[in-house]
Order: sequence, then structure tokens, then C-alpha cells
Amino acid sequence: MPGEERPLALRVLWVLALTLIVASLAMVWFYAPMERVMGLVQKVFYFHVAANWLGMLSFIIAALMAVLYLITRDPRWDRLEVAAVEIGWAFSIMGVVSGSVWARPIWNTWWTQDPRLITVTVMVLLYSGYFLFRRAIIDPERRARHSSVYALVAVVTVPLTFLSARIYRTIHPVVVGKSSADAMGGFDMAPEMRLTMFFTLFAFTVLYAAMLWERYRLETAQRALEEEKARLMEV
Amino acid sequence: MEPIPDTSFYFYLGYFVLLGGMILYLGSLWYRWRRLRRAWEDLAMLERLDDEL
Repeated sequence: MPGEERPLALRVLWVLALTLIVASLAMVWFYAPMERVMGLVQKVFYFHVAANWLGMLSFIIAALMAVLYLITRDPRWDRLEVAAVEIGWAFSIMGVVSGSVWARPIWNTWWTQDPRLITVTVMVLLYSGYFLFRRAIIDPERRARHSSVYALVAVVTVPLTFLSARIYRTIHPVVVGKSSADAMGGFDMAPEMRLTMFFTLFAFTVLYAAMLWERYRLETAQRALEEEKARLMEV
Repeated sequence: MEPIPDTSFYFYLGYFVLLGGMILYLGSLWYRWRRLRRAWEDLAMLERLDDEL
């Protein structure tokens, strides 16, 4: 099977990524202090932020791949685009659900009509449509081209989601940068909290690199199988 | 000083969602690789049978 042998660099990346994730979990559990108002649930924050960071980063990378595909028409960019959208989608869902769990004891509700919550949901739903859209087009070249345009349009929701808590009146906290003047959420971070957050973000970014590479290899192998099947059908 | 509220249940639930989601996604990658490997094996067998015939 083509691409079965995992490159040494990817194996090293996987080991590094998983070690960093375990280390960041240890920091969350043992190093980061407990927040006095929210209690232990505030610690969901570290992985919740990292999951959302990874989701948004991935959608931006997918859009860049889409641009590269539209310029070069090289199918490798399309494969990377699919990989990026899928990972971004999965992590955005984890971010939304974990946020809802955090909200329950703090806002006294699982869900509320907050600008940040609405924009992130629109983003996830739009990227859910990406996969349905791809499945609807049979011709590979046309599918890649149209999907690239879709990824370029959908990426508009990323800055919208990021800025929603900074522009609108919201109860969602902003911990990096300034929030809106009349925002109601937010909490101050101790230096240990800040360090844990940035370490977790770094760990997730390394994990993302490993996952993107792995998913790209999988996509390449799947397409090779489809081509082989098509070749055999012709014979 | 006010006591710190006990929100540990939601803390564990939050990490169950996050770590569970990550494991699920990594598991899906592993499963898809396995399925692909089997499909290649089936294809190789079909080619062998075709040659024999």
C-alpha cells in the first residue's frame, strides 16, 4: 500500500506531541492555581481555548491551501485543505461542547444567545456543510475547485468569531487582548495561569502538525486506492 | 473570605469531552488506515485471482 510506512520525522512528531499534551495536562492539574470565584471548572479554560485556537488556525490554513490550489491546480493542496478542514471542524466542536460544560455552573445555563456562541456555531455549521458539499460533486477536479471556493468563503466566519467577543456586548470572557468596553465576562490571570495557557497552546499546535501530516497521508493513500480501482475497472 | 465553590463535576465533564474527543478523532484516523489497508489487500487478491483466471 502506498504511504504505509510512517516517516521517522512524523513518528518523532507524534511522540513529541503526545508528551507535550501529557505535560500540559500535568500543568493544568498540578501547577495552575485554582480560580477563587469559579473553582475547579475554570481549569477547563486551558484545553477549551487550545481546542478553539486549533480550530481557527486550521480553518485559516485550509483557506491558504484553497488559494494555493486555485492558483496551481496541484491536488496536493486540495488534500491538505481537506485534512485541515476536518481537523479544524473536530476541534471546534470540542471547543463548543467544552465551553457549554464550563458555562453551566458559571452562567447557570448550558447555552445562551451570546454573540460569541452564535458566531462559533455558525462557523461549525458552515464547515459541516463543506463535507456534504464535497460528497455532492463526483468529478475530482471540479470537486477540488468548488471546495476551495467554499473554504475561502467559509473562512470569513473565523475573524467574525474571534472578534465577536471583542466588539459586541458579551458575557464570554476575553483573556488575550482587549474586550468590548461594556463586556461582562472576563477574569484576571495569574502568571502561572498564563504560562499554563501558552504551554497548552504550544502543545496543541505541535499535535496539530502531527495530525495534519497524518491526515494528509491518509487522504493521499485513499485517493491512490480510488485511482487503482478506476484503473482496474478500465482493464 | 468566601469559600471556593465546588465545580469539580463540570471540570471532569469538560476534560472528558476534550480528551474523549481527541481520542475519538485519533481513533478514527487509526480505523480509516486499517480499513484502507484491508481494501488494498482485497484489491491485491482480486488482481491475483484475475491473473490466475
